[in-house]
Amino acid sequence: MYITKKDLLNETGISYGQLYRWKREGLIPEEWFIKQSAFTGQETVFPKQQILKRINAIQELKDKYSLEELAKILSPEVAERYFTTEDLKIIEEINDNLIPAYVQGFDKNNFTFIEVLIMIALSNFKASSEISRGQIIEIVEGLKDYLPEMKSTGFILILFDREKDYYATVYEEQAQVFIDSRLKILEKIHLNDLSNLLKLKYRKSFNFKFDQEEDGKLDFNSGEIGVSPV
Amino acid sequence: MRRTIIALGDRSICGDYKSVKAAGDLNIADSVIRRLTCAGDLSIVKSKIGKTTCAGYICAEASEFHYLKAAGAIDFQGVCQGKIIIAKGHLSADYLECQILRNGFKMASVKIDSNNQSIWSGSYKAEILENTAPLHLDFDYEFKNIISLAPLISENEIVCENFYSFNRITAPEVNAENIFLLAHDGISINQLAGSNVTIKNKFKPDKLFRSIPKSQTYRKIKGERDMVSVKSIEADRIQIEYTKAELVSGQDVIIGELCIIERVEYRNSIRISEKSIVNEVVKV
Repeated sequence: MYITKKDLLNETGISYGQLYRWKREGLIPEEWFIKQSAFTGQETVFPKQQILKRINAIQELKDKYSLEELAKILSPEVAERYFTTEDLKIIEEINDNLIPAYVQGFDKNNFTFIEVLIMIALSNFKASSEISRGQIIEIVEGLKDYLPEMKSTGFILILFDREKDYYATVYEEQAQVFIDSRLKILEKIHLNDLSNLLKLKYRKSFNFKFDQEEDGKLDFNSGEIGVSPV
Repeated sequence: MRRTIIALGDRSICGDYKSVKAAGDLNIADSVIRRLTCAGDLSIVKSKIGKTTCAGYICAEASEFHYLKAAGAIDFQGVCQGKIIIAKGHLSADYLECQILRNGFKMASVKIDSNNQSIWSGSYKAEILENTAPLHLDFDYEFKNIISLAPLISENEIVCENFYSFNRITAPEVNAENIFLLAHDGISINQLAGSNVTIKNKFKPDKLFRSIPKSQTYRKIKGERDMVSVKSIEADRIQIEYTKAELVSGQDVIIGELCIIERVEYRNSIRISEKSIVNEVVKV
């Protein structure tokens, strides 16, 4: 469902200047500005839920952080960060017992940010379902070749089952996806939400460029925890 | 610091120099030079140079320049830095960071219409890009301010803090805090968006413009009474003249003389010149 720019500005009380400033700063992804024809020629619409959620988050956090810092929290930062198995143990949302399964499924010891998000999603799913360790490995194996293609966290992970056999699919947030109605959708996870949670909760542990300096200012580029060469 | 040297033919130097004047190819490595003048090809590695003027090809690797003015191709390898870099010719950079980056030598003029386009490639970061020769923005850049006196082409949205254009532009969108366009019929932009958008037939430097660091002086500029055509303008404060647009939408809108606007949306205030045509005005 989409919202027009005019309605968005009315509903949130922000100005054009703010909207475009946030776009420039990378707080609002460019792909959310969707152009469509209208009787006035062309108008811009946004994915309603996502943009409202994002603007609320910006309004809540903008007094605590600078726009540059906020961009780092809210925008995907998936390219350069790698997590070791030791790093995974720090993340409470990842089931410790499943770490060997992830190592086996991904067939490596260093993981990208996106892969960590998938692990969190699957760990959550394991807690609320009867999925076995072996089935989790199968899902990871089924997804792993596609994950390097994901250059942002703007994706949705869907988990569904057919007669206790579990499957997953990942698609871009803007995409329309029609899944065979015989399949039962068990979970629909927005990776962006997990990403925001991870960055806020573990910004100190994983040096999401938010380490606090002694004088209270935020210090960028310090520490190397969790970053290892490809 | 060593003496002033004059280098003729192929030479290699290394060390600290007050002044170097060279005719011919010169290789500089691990040096600090206060002033360098060269006609010929220059290779500079891990050096710091004060004022450099050069005609010829320059290959600079991991070096710093206080002031570099060069006619001829420049290849910046590794991370290079500078305060003022003025280049006329092709430029490539692994990563160049400077305060002022200027394309072309010509001083302020709105009559530049040359096809002699500079080709830039690589990655650039500068507080300001001053564009005085036709340029295609098809490289990685992060410019806080852009002042363009010459044709500017971009296939992607142009994004910066303050954008001033006094010549032709071709771009799908310009998104900046402050946008000023001197009315020019060679402007082809779908959308102008930001906080303040001004389109006028004349330009007088204001406080904001004066506060931006520049390598040359800009005085009042008068346009040719051309008409600007854009699809939409969206900003908090909009002040336009000589403009044809489908949609103008803002908080406070001033439609000056000689505008043809299909639809105007405003939130707080609106002023429309009698010499303009506006089909529909809507308070939102």
